[in-house]
Amino acid sequence: MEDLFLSTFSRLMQAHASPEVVRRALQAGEADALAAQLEESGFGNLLLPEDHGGAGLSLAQIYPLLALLGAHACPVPLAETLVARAALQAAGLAQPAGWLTLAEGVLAEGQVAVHGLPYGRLAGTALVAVDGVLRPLALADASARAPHLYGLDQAVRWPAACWRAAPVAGEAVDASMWLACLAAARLAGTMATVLDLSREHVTQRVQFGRPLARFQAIQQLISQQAEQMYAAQMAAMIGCQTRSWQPEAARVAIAKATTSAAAAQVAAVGHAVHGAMGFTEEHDLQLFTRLLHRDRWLAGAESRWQEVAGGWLLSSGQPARTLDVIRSVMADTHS
Amino acid sequence: MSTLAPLVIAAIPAEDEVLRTEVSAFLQAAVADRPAWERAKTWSGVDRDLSRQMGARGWIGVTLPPAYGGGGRSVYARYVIVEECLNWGAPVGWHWIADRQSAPMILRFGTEAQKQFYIPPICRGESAFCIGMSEPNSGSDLASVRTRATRTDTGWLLSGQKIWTTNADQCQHMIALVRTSGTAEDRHRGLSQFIVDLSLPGVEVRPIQDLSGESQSSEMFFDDVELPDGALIGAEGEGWAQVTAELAFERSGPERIFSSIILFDAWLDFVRALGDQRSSTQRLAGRIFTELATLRAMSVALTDQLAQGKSPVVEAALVKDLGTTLEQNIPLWLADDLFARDPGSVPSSLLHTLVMLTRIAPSFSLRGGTREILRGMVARGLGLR
Repeated sequence: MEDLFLSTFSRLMQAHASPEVVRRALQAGEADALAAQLEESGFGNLLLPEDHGGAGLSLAQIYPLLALLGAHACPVPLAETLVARAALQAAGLAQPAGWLTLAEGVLAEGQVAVHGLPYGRLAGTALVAVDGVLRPLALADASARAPHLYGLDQAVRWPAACWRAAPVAGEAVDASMWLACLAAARLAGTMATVLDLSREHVTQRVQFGRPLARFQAIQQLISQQAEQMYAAQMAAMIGCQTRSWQPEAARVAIAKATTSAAAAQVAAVGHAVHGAMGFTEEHDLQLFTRLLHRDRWLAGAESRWQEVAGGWLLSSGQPARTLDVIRSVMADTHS
Repeated sequence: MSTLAPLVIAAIPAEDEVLRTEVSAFLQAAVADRPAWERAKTWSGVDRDLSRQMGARGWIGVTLPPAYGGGGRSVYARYVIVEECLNWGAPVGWHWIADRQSAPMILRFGTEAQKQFYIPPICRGESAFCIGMSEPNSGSDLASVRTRATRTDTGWLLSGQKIWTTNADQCQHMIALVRTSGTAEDRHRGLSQFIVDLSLPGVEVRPIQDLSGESQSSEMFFDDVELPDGALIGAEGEGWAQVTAELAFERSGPERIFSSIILFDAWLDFVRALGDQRSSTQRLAGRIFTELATLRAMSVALTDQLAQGKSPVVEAALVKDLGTTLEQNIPLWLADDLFARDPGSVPSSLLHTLVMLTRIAPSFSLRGGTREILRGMVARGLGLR
């Protein structure tokens, strides 16, 4: 069943999430045709229980789908919607129409502020966590929306009254941890695409009478890029290791620290081997390296998650040997 | 364009994981009196008595058939034992190579007589092997070996030279890759493997003192050494294929990620005792921990492929390159941390361990194939060459 949904989803992405669609979405903030296809497909409900119209899948089971979103730089917040819908359902709240997204917010001076709302431009509702309390806020109720660091993201403010009027969708919620898990999975997929583009380019581009791939210097660069991507895939899978829709903090720290660090290197090698051609708006490479950097930053880059993991490792009560700590973090994992 | 198959998260089966408690308790007691700087040598350290005790407990040759004295268990059982050896810093160098690659190689390519003769003493921890691959003019370019075995009426006549052979001065046997036909220009063709009894006349072993003042490797000279017929292992002329299979065992294990773990654990003890929760300390601890956890998952996933009978040669090369990079970064990063502290505050035992790792770390990306060779293999796996 998982293979079936995955191949169906892969075909949908191939057909409807082309680089042209991504490019237009980043510029115009519009991906209506792709969004309609995704909505109709029902993929946004995979984490919901079967008696609520979902498939009852876990994050571990949908990891390949999350990676495919990154592989196509999908401009629609399907990953965030999957988790947000599961959170709303778990809280017994109604599912709003449209796409959902997630963020940490700050309540101050009569406003709730979200500095970077991923996919805010296309989302209808944001689940915002303020001091661990999660509430759904309609983007239509926002008092201010401004461009953020990535074409689809926004800095958004809501009146505090909106926040107080919204129902509670969860308590003691670490929304950045949820986002980090999703971003890590997406990063693994985006890295695979950048590696593919790089391999394709160096095998086709001829200089000094032979393909770039024949030069040892290029081979060493691409090998390192592949190694980083390979480690990132494993780390992202670790982050998604849970039998439910809720990720586990220690595993997410491993995932986001590793994928964020790898993303920077994979993007750098991708541009290095593409030369000036990869530096143009016209080339698709930039669609994916832009997303690599955005997801590297989203919910904290490697240092933030290294700090989380390290703080926990250094706390008293951990076993003396690192191996035993790793084993306890990885207990009850499965493929 | 060929591509690499993604690794899948695998769990060590419960029936193998149960071994850990007993192995761990035994090794913890065995190394209790050894300082961290000495434990840091792990599989470079030699303790014949420890090897015999481990053999008596059935922890050597655990994957080999019981008919030859082995444990008849999966590669996961060996993974658990080896991981515990590395993480306690047990000096397991005496049986390490025979357990890891020589015995499996004899099992796979040897005659019945060879299996009966060589494997049981290995499993008892009484027989040590070394690997005769490198020569003075054949380092990374292994196919250019010139040591030659020539047929005689009674067997073979061996002459030539090997170098950088780990523990050669401690071993009874070496499995050597030598030329049996053609010349060095014939490359992969005409190579064969022999089990050489190092006590035979004409064998000379000269230990090489390394930069840490120890002699872990040797140069070896073969002056018309008369080998019996039964010294040839596998088929004549198939040495290259056999040696390639052997290297997959050599590259995929946890010894490619845990070589600096004794230092990291000692550093963690130090900062935990200080109650140091500065963010810079947390980041450093977390950086090493997150990389190590990812690599360990990759190493277990590779073990799963071996358990399924696959030979993940390219994937093993890739994980070894990543793993040895972290192993080498750990002493560099921890030195950077320790020498930003008040000079008097760092225990001398920790500094001593740091010095040991700093000295031996360059070898991590040399032994078992250099970084550049491994990356070349990955590039080939990606269809670039």
